[in-house]
Amino acid sequence: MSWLTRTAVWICAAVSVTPATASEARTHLEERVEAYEQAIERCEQQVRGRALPGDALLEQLRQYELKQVRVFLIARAQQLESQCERPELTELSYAIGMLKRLDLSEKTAERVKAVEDLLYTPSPWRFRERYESLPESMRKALESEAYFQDPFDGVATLEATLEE
Amino acid sequence: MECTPVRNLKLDSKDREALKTIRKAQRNGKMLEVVLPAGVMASIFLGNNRAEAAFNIKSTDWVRFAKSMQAIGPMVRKTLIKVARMQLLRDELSPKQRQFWKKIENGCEGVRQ
Repeated sequence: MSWLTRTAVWICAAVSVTPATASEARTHLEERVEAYEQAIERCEQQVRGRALPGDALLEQLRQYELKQVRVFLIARAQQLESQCERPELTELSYAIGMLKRLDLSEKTAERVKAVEDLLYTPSPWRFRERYESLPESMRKALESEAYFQDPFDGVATLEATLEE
Repeated sequence: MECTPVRNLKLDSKDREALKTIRKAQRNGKMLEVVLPAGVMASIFLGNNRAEAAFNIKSTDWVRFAKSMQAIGPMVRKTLIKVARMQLLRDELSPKQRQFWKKIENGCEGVRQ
């Protein structure tokens, strides 16, 4: 094997996420799932650690129609949570894409399908669709608030907005 | 959020569709079947309920459900929460439906902390 071929093989092995065997494929998938689950918990923790917005921001929210506030808070919270989990979710999605190109055992193929069913629900598009239906001026004004730039509890904030 | 009971809860076709999404998403892991104790929540989440069925959810049912949410894997829990949030975006929900989905989304006080 020439130096060039050896180097190419080494580089491919070093950067590739394509496992060589069925067992490695399963292990690789489970590692990515575990990393993603840890990301979910990390982001949930981040949300739990945040206080509700202050009175001034709650008052600002009350200036809009309740229907619009509801969409903003729930969809924005969902969006920020997704952003928080994105690196691990991207890795997992990539791993699934790679694994599906391999000849997997029945058990691993079933596991891939089960993970896909959990990951790819239609809701992200629906959240986005509802969010984009809001007036642009409202989205821009509220998105520019520091509070709405990190994951927060949308439902609890909505409750606080309703309490006057 | 307190574990207050929800009496005479009537779910509509969109709620049932949402429950179907949850069942479909977690069917391979069958996680809810494993962790959800028999009772009204199992009946709502796992059962094949008639369209006109009304449910009475007691405080203890909410506590058990919130504990089950902690026992299931984060990916399944996240799916449930996303579906609940989608339902909460609906303008036409009755107060009881809204209360139901809110509690699914956020559990009740002291349990998911």
